[in-house]
Amino acid sequence: MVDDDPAEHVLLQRQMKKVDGLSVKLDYVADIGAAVESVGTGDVDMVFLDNRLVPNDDFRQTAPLLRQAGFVGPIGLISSDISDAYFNEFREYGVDFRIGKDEIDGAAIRFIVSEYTRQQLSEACSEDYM
Amino acid sequence: MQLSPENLLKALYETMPDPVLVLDGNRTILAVNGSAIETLGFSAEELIGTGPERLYASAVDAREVGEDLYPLRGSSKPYRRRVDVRRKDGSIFPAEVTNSIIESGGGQPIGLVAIIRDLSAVLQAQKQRLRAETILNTALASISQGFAVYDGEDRLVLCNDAYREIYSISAPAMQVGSSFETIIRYGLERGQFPGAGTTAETRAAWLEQRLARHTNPEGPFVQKVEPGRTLQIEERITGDNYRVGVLTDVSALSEIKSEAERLGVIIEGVAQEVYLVRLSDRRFIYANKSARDNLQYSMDEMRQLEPQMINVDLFPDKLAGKAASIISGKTKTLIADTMLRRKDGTMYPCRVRLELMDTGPDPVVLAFAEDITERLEIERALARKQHEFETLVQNLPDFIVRARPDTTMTYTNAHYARFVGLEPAEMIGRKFLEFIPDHFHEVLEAHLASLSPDNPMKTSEQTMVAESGEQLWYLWTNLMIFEDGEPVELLSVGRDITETREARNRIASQARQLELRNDALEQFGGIVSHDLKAPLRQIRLFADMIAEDVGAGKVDDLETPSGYISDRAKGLERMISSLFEYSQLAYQGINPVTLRLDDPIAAAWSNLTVHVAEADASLFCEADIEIEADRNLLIQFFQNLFANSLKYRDPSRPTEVRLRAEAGENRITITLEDNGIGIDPRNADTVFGVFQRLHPDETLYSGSGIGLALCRQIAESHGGTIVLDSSYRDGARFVATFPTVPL
Repeated sequence: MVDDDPAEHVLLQRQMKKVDGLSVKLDYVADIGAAVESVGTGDVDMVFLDNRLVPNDDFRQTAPLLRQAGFVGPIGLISSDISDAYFNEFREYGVDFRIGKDEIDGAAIRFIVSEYTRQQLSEACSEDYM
Repeated sequence: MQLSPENLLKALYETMPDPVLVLDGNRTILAVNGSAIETLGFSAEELIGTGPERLYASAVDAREVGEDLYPLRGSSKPYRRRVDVRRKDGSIFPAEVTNSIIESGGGQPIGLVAIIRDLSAVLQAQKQRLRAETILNTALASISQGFAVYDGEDRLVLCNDAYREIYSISAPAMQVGSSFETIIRYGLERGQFPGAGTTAETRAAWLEQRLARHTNPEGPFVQKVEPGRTLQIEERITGDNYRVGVLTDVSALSEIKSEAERLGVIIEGVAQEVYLVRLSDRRFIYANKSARDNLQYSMDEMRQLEPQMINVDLFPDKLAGKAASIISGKTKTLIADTMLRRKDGTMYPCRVRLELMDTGPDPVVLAFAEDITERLEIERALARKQHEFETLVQNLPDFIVRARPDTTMTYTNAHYARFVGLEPAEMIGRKFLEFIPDHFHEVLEAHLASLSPDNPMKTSEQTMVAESGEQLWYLWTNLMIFEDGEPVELLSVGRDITETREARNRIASQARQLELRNDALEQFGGIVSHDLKAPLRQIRLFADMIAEDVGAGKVDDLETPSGYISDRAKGLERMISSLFEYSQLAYQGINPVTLRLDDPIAAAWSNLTVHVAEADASLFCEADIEIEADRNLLIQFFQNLFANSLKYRDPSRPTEVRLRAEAGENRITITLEDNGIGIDPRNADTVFGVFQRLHPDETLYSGSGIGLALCRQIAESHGGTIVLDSSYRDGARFVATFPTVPL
């Protein structure tokens, strides 16, 4: 999780614990520089990226940095409000999905994890099969 | 002497006017009569006992006649031959020789009697007749009229070429001896006569009528024939019951006549009154229907009238005087307005145009008259409208000018004249340009020069100086009138828009302020949805977390969520306070006063005394200039900028703030620099947004995040600007501009 507010980490961690049968390790960094460094280790499967990280403007600046660092896993954009029109362009900047922070609950987390984990497994199986 | 057959024969022989010769079986002349001696010039002794050969002018004739008759053979028929006979004097005359055989009592041919008939007179007569026939045929061929002669049995005797050409379709049937009916039927079946119709019945009826007219001619008549001709036919019966027909092609005349008839119909039907007056007795000889209807007279009644009888406006002598110039040819036409009296006594105004039509022995005057009752009413209405228009124009608050294209005025209304302190008449002849300020001349000349036939009208706003010296704004609408692409007249209307312009400026200023407030309101809405929602959501979630933990009996770690709740609640309080402060400034109208700029600067620095001391900060100020602005807002403006410099200072060195103000022509430029940590150039614009934090660590750089947003709000509310100089690298540099006089 990349968010300049550590409270958001506490809250997401709590939401994830509520999901039965889900075993997720949630790492937290507060800025994009740390995030780039973290994905560079290769231990990150998915990134929850806060839209606005001071001093950066928004995800249009930060998400490409993660891709440039070689991260190919899913990036989910999280924000207090995703109603601005520019959020519609998220795919152009390497983001896979977006979700409002007030929408995040157990069901949403279960769906996101299963959806993006299944796709990855599927791709891996496909490669093994070949 | 006793009368016996012998004596009778001898007497006949002697008295015969034609020469008679008696020849024997050997072709020797036995006897000749007196006529032979007289005609041939020979004596009896010179002829008797000789042969007849020397009497033939042609030896061939002499030989062939001899061979035909000799040796003599019995024949009851006389032998005739046309020969030329030579007299003794050598002259020759044409003759017919009749030879009759003389038989003996036993029926044996013993000789012959030759009677010579002189044909000179007969041949001469024939020659004359042939010559006459040739002349006649030539004459008939040369005349353009068709000419034909039918005999007593109605058979064609002769016809000329014109006759065949006129009846071109029937021409093949025109054989000498063909009957008139045969020729007519031939043409009828082939469409020669369009007047006969197209059905068998109509053609039969037409033929019957035509034959009856041919049999008993009653005078000339007109007949249409194809192709497209009109004939006048005149047939006569001669004393010996011959029928002579003469055809004249009258197509052209017919056409002229029909044109004249059409013209007559047109003149009769036109709405304008038309009269013809004969000058010799000054009587009407014609009045068309419109004239008769209007005057209520019949044509017969009109013919009894003289023009002066219906004219009530011009006295007879005056009318005669006017007509005299026409009659004498001094003037070709005359136009006069007069009143005409109808039969019932009512009258109507009329415009009459007279023209002498014929200079012959019996000239006539053609008069066209037009009832001008309606026209006069329209003219009177037009005059009324014109008067109303003049009154309106004279009293309009607008300036109205008519001028030549070079702006030389030909008309101006009283209002404009009063404005420049002249009478309207004094303005005429002077140029429009003289009455506008000099600095507008060039603009106006270019404006007028840009008027074109495609774009003849334009407007322009310009200042005008009244006689009183007052300067007012006028909107001029200039319309150039073009004829054949050339400008001929300029129409200009000027309207005082001084108050309108002031109102427009006021509205623009209000719109600008409204726009600022709307921006602030919009930003406020955004803040509520973004920045306020986030801490509220967190408070809700942390409260839920506490409730869950308490419900689950886990009460050992409630400090973390409760700490977050408290922290977010304090943050909310700060934001709400800041928003209140911002909204008060954002919606506040400015109250500008003239002051020295360094006065609010000093006040702002003084308000930050504690922070200045903490930062060990120094202010270097060059701002001793005058400005017209809201003092309180300026204090807030500088206080926020100073606070920003103090907050983001470089802890490794003493804080220095440098402020410089320069007065330009219309604007004052204020530059503020510090030697702090600076601002990322990428945030050059976002730093002026509400709640924009430039550093995430609020414990290190606390604040509401509205300071710079307020600075921009204050600058813009004065009509000024503030920007971050992103090129500055030794700290932060802000450049603000304020108008000399706030908008």
